[in-house]
Amino acid sequence: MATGGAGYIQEQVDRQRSALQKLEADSAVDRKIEIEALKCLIDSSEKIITAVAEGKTLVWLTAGISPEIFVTMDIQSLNLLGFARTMTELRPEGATEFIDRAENLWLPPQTCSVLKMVIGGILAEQIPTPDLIIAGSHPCDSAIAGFEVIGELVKVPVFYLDIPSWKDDRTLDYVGSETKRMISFLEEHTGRKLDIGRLRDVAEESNKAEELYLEVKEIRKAVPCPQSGAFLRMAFAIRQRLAGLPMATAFFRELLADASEKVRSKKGAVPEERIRVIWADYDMPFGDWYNWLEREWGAVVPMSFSAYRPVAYIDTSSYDSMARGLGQNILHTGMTRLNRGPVEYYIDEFIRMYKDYKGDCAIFGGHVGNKAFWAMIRILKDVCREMGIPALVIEADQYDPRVVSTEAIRSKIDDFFTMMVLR
Amino acid sequence: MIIGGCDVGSATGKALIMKNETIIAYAIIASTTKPEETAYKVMDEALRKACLLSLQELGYVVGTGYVRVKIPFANENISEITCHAKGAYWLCPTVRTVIDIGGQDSKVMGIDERGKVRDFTLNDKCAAGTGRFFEAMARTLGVELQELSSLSLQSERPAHITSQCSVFAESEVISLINEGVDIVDIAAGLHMSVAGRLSSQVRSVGLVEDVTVSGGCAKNKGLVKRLEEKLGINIRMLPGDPQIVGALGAALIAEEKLSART
Amino acid sequence: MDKKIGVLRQLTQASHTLLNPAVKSWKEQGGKVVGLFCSYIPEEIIYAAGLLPFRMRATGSEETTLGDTYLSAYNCTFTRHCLDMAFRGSYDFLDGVVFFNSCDHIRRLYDIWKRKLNTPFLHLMSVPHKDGEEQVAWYRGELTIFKESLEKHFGVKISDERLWETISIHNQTRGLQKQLYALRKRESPLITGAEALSIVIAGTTMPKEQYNELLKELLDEIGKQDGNSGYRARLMIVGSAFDDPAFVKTIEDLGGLVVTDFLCFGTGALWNSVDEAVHDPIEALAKYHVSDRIPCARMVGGHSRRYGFIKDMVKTFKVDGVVCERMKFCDFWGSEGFLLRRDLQEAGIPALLLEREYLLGGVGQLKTRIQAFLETIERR
Repeated sequence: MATGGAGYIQEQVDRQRSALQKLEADSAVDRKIEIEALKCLIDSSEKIITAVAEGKTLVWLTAGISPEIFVTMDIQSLNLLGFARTMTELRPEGATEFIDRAENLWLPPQTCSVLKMVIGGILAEQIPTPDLIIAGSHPCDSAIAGFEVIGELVKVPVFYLDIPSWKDDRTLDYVGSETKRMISFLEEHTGRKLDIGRLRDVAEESNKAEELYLEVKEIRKAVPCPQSGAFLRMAFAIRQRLAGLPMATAFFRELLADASEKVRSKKGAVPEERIRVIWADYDMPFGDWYNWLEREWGAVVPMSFSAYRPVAYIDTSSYDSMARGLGQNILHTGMTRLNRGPVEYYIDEFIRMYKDYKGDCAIFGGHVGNKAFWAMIRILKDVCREMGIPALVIEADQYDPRVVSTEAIRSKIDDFFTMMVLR
Repeated sequence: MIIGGCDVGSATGKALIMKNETIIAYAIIASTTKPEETAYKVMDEALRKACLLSLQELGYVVGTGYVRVKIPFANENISEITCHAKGAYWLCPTVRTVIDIGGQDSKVMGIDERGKVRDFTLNDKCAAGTGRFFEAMARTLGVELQELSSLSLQSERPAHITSQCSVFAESEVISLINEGVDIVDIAAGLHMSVAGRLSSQVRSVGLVEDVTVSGGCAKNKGLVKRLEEKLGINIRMLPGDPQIVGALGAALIAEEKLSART
Repeated sequence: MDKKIGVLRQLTQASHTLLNPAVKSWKEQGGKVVGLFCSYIPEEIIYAAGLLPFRMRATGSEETTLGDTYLSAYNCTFTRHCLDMAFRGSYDFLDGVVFFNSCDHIRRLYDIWKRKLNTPFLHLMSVPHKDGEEQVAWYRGELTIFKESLEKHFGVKISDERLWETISIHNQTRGLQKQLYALRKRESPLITGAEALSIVIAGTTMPKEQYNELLKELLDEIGKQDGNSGYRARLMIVGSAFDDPAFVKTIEDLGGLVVTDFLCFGTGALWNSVDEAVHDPIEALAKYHVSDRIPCARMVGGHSRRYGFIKDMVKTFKVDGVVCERMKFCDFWGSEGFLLRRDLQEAGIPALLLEREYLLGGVGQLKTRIQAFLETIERR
């Protein structure tokens, strides 16, 4: 049973409720999507708080673990990396106290600060202690190393998913069977059995949302881009936390309705779309980038790496095929999709995204803790140069605004647009 | 038994002479470019103060400090970590954490109830958090080193200095000056920043009271105050000059070694 | 006495340079050399293909200016030095290089190497991160693909029979190295840590039959030698890719005799043997790396097994203190160091965490830490 303080989760809910109130007070129609998104996320967090209060089973998750499994088995889960991201977004100064706490304990400062944040939060005993942990060998060294420490700090059973570097059928089969083993692990430790019939229903619900989202992604290719880049972040969060729930499907339905209506009336996210930015990175938590870009520059982000999920329907014909589909989600989510394999995974996707979404320029938000990224950036710059793509590489700590401030980053973007894009 | 300890770093050289478990003389000088020269010079001064004629009158000498291997008259050398811990414990046996803030490095030693080093951290790769940092910042602000400390004590609202690195901190300070931030607040901010770094080092060794400070920067009241704030405890100041703690520890070890022989 | 020194010199020579006489001679006779990044790649397969396996080092590298044109300051200096050497042509004697997903830095080194250098054969494998049966099966699959790729490129056939032969030879190597390590259990260990490291490194640079003969000679002669006494403490080094005997010598010159280790140029790769009772040689190799050997910190969930091994070593080799080193930016050994320090302190075993770069630098600072650590041990 979950124990310990849910203080930080409650804090997140409080901050989100406060933001929700402001949005609801704003009479502009456009706030509908953000309001829906916040309601979904608040609901999801409150379920965690309730589960803790009722002493229910809680599982900590690493990136990309399919929420459908937990919906089916009615087990409460908490995505630690998502938690860190949300905390950084919600606190104006970032959640840097967590980082400091982890560093004070000899955790090397060069570890990615997401993991430092999580570990710091655990040490402060304000993240509810789990009964089980699902970790994995993805998406990077810091995640592996960080979860080793997390597992040792909180002595509960841990299941590690082994995620290979490839994406062929052999890999999908393997990850599918890893997923089955993960499910067995959950069954063994919770005493609950996964109901295959129920899984089928949940997977089909998830597939509905996936289909809706596919259409939204298609519509965003239009010029002008009908929706804000901020919606991408929301879509990602809801997909990660709530896929398989009717609430999530409802959100994507709203999202699609909004996108369809706007593209029909040729309405753009900004009054005058001046720049289309391909955000060739994962969403940067602090700095409110999408809104700032739109407001300051009329620069819209039609697509980002976080949001660019390949279509992945779960084949519901058998348990095996469902496990494969659920495992596939890990391979398709964000950093795992791009970072686990050779650099071609990045390059191919980046080029396709740039062409499909008619980018004018690319911004790589270089997170200092992402060593694989920094080892690759020169190759990416070479590609951009060959293809005549204006590209900006930001060097910052995406979870620690003290390293490079929001102002400093904005200044770099200002210069980039002025000198390289809007010549 | 008359014994001696000699602590030579790149900023200062210290020598201390003891007789019958009492300190009879000590000296502190600025280091020259030649370590051997600094060692002889500072030891000569200590000998003079002790009314001793020469090095021969010392039964045993232990050398310490960054250039300990270059102290020609030392019978052996011991690390400054062991020496500072030893010296601090002798001066105050309730001490369990020693923060030594020197000219070019800072170290934290955790000691047990017998005065033995349990754990330590050493920051000798970076000027931030050392005497050199304060010197550089005092220059930037156009004040004397001692003034920097007393100014900082006057602040009610220390400026927030984010840069970990002293190079970047300097440009931050210049920006703050241009923004018209009060010099007392900037001075306090600098002290907070150093205290922050040191407190991280302390926590990684483990904060156990009593906590004390040694080294040149221990004389910086502004720093001590901010450290107390950061750590949430009262610092137990050592009697006498905190700069000689290393040389004292070296002398005490010299005593140990000489006793062991006889 | 002279002979032992001669054999020892021959063995330690290999660790001081990159291209040693054995490799030169192999190439002169028309042989081909395949470099490999990291000990999880089975040398046995390469050797069974008639190629000389060569564990990659950046020995002799002095800077990373060229390497840093493609790698960054956020990357491990081992990879940066290797890339630098590669750009300068120091690895031109290699006919192929094999990588796997050991870590983010190495993976990207492969990407850069593939795009910017002309090594005729490059291969990347995906090695499991944990030790279950299914993982052994996965690695068996990867090794089969690797074997076929080698066969195709070099125009050779690797028979099971030949594989069992090379496995046997490599197992003999491990056994002999283990015998050498056993000589360090004594109160006066017969070889120093620097010598042991040199000897192990030598084994990664020459044909194993030749190496085994040298080891046997050394084992024969070494008993006639006096052991190393007069040290202040017996140390164990644990950590990431470590191929610099000069580093160990710096520690040992201060009186910290290194009597054992957990390193990949050390017990990590020699303490266990490939199980020759397994039906299929590729499976045997997969099982050895994935589940039998004590896992590198790159593997998940391996901490307690590693710690257990270290504790045993502390006991049997009468270790006074453990030095946990890691290369800056190595996430795996950074976390492992964090956990080991905590565990060792709890067990009352002195532990020192050292952060280092690939090249030995800041010697004064290293000496201060080691000296302080030795004093802490002595004055307990």
